[in-house]
Amino acid sequence: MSVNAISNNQWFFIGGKMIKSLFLYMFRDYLRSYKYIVPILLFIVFLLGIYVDQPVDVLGSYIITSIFVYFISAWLALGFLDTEDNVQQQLTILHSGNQSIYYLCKIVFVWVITLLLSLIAVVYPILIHAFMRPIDSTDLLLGFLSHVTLGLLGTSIGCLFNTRLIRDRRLALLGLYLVIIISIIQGTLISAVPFLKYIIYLLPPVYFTMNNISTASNLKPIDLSSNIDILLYFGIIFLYLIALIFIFIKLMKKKAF
Amino acid sequence: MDTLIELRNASKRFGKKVVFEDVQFKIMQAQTLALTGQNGSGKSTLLRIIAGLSNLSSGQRLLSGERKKLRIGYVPEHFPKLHFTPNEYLTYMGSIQGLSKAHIQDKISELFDMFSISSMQNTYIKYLSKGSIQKIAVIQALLSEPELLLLDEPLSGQDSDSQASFIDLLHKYKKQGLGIVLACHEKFLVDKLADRVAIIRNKKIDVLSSRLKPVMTITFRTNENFVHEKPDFEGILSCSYEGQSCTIICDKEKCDNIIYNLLNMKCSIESVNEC
Repeated sequence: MSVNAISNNQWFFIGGKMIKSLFLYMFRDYLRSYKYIVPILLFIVFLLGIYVDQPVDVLGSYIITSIFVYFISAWLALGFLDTEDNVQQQLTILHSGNQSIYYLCKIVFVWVITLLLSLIAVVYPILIHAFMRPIDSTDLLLGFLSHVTLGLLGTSIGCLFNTRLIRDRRLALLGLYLVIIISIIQGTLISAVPFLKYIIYLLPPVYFTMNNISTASNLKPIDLSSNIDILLYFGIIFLYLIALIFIFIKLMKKKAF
Repeated sequence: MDTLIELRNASKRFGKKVVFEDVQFKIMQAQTLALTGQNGSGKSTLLRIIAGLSNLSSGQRLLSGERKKLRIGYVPEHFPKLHFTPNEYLTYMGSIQGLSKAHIQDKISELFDMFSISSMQNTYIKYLSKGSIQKIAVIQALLSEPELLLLDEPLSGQDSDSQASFIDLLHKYKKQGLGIVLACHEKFLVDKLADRVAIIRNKKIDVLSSRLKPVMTITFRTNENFVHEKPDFEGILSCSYEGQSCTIICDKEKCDNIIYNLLNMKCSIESVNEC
């Protein structure tokens, strides 16, 4: 079949098949690397541990598990990005024929794992009736949004600290967890060291988003119509995520091999 | 003969370290360009640049005509020890390229038979010998029927029978129009395969038009009155200076004449080698 004879629909079909194959390849490679075992085990132990004492506050416990998902997803992303060594990456890029699609697939792959972890973290306490009050759709929405946004944020930040961009693994880990910790305590840090505020504002607004949820009433569900700024902060995190993906792909292409 | 890729005024630096500067050459269809040079001279870097995997610090990498893409097969010097069987890995790579399952399986069988490794297709690559891994590396590069094949030390770890059949195979593909760039140290491989030779030396690349004539390198120390230009003697193909030291590449048959002229100009000859 000549190239000209392939219609747009067929290209779309071939492109879809190629991306599916790339995902399957990444999945199989990651599965056999065993790099996920420790973070996933830690996630399970933490989730079981936090709901030992019941009943617990709905959004309070969701904030804690969201922050844990944030940590774990950054760890998973760092491990996943380093699963393929440099030569293996070069070959996969050549076979896929498009660096941007290859890197985008990598980031989306870790996102899918994060989404699964987020889903488990939201649904598990509901299934074991761990909350002190019945939850409503707003609780579910906020719970899911906080886990997903922080999880995706963790993976995107984790991707930026991979060993191709920062060769020294210890430095990468230090930098990654410094960014994560500062983003969690940024509000407290700004009050303590005001002159750092412009640097700290550059970090993802994790503290402000979680703070908004935690200051809302614990005893009754939040009325989102009078707390619209909560959704606004989630919106900012999503914009932040898009910027991070763009930066990640740009940096990886610029750094090349 | 069509040009596949052209490098124009190409330079590559890693931080302050210059790998090569102001390089230009073309890679042609149905031709083999051999890259030679000492270890660490930048052969592998140049291959990655040609493949589009590494960026130039300045200059251009141009695909010929109106092409937007070129099917490139790349055989790295050290193929990774993967936790995939050859069959799994090649099937994935073929599917990622958009090839149909039936086509991939036919191609894999054909190439496995050609390289006599059919019995290894279900063993994890990480458990295979160096020579067998190198064959898998070549098979993955040929899987997509590339227009350009980049080979980085392709014979390392291969026995003499495999080397001979590999050279025959490359000749066959070249006749079908495949362009080949070969980075290697083995002189016999260059002699058997190369149409042109590019020597990477002193951050420059000298592309010699033909490998048919044997060439020599002469290194000599210039005197104070010596003008630092390419000496005007017959047979000199390239010339590079480093301080008072000069290295020229010349036709072997003109070598004696050039040495005689240099001695007449009171230059002291440091070394003469066939390359």
